[in-house]
Amino acid sequence: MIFSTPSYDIEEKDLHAALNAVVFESLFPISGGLGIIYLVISIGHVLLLPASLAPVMVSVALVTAGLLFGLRYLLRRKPISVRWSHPLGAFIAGLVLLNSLLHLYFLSDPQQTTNLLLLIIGVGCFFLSVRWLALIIGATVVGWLLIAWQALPSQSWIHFGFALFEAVALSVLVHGVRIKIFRRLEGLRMRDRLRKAELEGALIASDESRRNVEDSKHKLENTVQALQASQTYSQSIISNMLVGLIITDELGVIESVNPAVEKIFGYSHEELIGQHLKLLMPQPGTKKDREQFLKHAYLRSIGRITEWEGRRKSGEIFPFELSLFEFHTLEGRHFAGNIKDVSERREVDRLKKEFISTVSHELRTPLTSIRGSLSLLAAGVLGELPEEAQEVVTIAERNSVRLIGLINDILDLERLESGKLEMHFDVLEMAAILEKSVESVRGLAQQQEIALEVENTETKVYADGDRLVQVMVNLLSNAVKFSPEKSAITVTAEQKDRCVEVRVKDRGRGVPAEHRELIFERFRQVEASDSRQKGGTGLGLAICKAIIEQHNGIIGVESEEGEGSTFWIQIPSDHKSYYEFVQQSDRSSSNLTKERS
Amino acid sequence: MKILIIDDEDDIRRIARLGLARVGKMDVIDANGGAEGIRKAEDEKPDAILLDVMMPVMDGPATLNALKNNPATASIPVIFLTAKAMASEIERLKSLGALDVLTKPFDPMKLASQVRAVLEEK
Repeated sequence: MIFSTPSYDIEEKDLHAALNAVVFESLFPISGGLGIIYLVISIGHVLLLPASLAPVMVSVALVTAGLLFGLRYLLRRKPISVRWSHPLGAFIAGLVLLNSLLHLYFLSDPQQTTNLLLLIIGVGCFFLSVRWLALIIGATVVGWLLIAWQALPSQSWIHFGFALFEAVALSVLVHGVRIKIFRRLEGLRMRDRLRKAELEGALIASDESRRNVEDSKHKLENTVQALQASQTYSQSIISNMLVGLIITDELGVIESVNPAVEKIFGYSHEELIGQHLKLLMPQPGTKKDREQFLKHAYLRSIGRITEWEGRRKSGEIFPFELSLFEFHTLEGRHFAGNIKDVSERREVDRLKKEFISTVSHELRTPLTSIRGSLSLLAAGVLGELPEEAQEVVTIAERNSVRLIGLINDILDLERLESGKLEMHFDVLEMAAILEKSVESVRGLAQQQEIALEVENTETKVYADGDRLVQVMVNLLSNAVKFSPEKSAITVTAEQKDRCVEVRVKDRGRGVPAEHRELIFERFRQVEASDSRQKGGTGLGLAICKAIIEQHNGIIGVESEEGEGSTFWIQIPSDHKSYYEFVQQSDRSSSNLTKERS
Repeated sequence: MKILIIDDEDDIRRIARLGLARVGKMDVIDANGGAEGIRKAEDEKPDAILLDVMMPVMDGPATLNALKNNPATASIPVIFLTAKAMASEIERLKSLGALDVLTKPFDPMKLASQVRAVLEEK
């Protein structure tokens, strides 16, 4: 890997600030050192200068020393910005220049120019700014020229002027070299600082990265643990489910199964993985069959429970319930099937139905004798009976008829639920169905002076006429039974989208909310005494519901307690709607029933 | 009108006999099984036979078959009596050559009129 060397460009203002700092660091020792020198000079002045000059020069030297010590004190005590380093340096140089010029002026001795030479070289060594150096050198040269013009003999000008020129040149040279050296040194130092800062930054970042990595690792470990716990949890549930669970890819190839599947089908886990689902069906079929199978299964079983036939490893064909759902992972689309072996349940159902059928059938034979005997007795065919005997025989006959009705209802319901009741569908005029139905209950209604009002309708239904009449007779006779005397029952039939809605409205006691769904179940009546008082077997509405469902229709009731009930049915109006309802009713009929009822 | 009732249940035979004879004013003879029924049909030449479907030894369809294959009885109309009221069962029985099918439990007060109606219709 190639690493690029970072360039550390130093900005001029930063370098300038660094040079100011170098000068600033010199201020403290220089102000102190020069202060001491000027104290010594003051003593020298007292000892060496003539009495006429001594007071002035001593005073100047002492003031200078005082100012320098004051500056030193200031530098120690007060935080001063490095921006002030060159102005303060110029202040010190100014004090020295003033002393030197006063010596030159008052003593009128060209030798005093040496002080200025030292000053010029000194500031060359001190300043790191051309501007300030030029200012002090300029001031020194001008001051010397002014004093020399006024007070020095002309013959000394050349010598000391040349000396000044040499001092200035030396000062500029030293200054130039120092500037160069210090710029380089400060540049290096600053780059070094930047590099160090960068390294420290990198180290911090590295530490942070390490901590992040550790955090992430810790989190990952926690996540893995949680995932493992969750997996164990799910696996335990899946492994102990009584329901089989098969996961396949989108082509129906088995990816995983739970132990229940192994138990249901008799294949081991290893035998199933990689095989197509059709292996578990009665006919494994060709590749095309297998592709068609999943499409068919998808349409039929996705999101709902449907019954299929399966084949165990032993070859036994058995019924099972299947509910499919699909899910997606990074590997693609998968299907999961919940499988429940219902062979035992089906066998129990079959035995139960067979029992009901046999019992019902066997009951008919003795009932034929009982009912027949009672009919003959009640009709007086075998001779007139005493009044009380006639009454008792009439009761017995009525109840035998009721018992026969109950057996017929049980058989009807069993046949409807097992799909054994044959239906003969045709497009029928609803008006004719209603007329036939109303005619059947007219006698009963007239006994209670109940009016049967049937609104005209031109609707048509796709139905089994006899069965639809059976439903309507049941709804109408219920309405009559529960209507008050001299009230009215209204029957309407209206086209609604692709179905016909028939409504039977009575003015009876109504159906309490808690009973509105239950009354469509077998042997459910609003009042337990209804079957005795109102007649009926408690199976009428269950039969109606089963018949209407065979029509792919729905049945329900709307009611306000005390204000009557409206029983309604919706059935397809034509052949096409019937088959559309087949698909829809699979998905929504039960919901619709609940909503409406 | 002479009617032959073939049923293995004595009680049913009696009730049917009472209904047909007392209410319908018909001549009634009966037999307690297929074999006896065929013999009586040959001997008595009834106008119609009421034949139970479920009987031991020789059931209704077998009896009907024998009656139809016997030139002496082949023309006698046969009406089945059955406790199985399923439409498919009724159709099946009709397809065997029965004139019609009446279901149990029947009303003895109406039995004679039902038999007459079937015979007149056909």
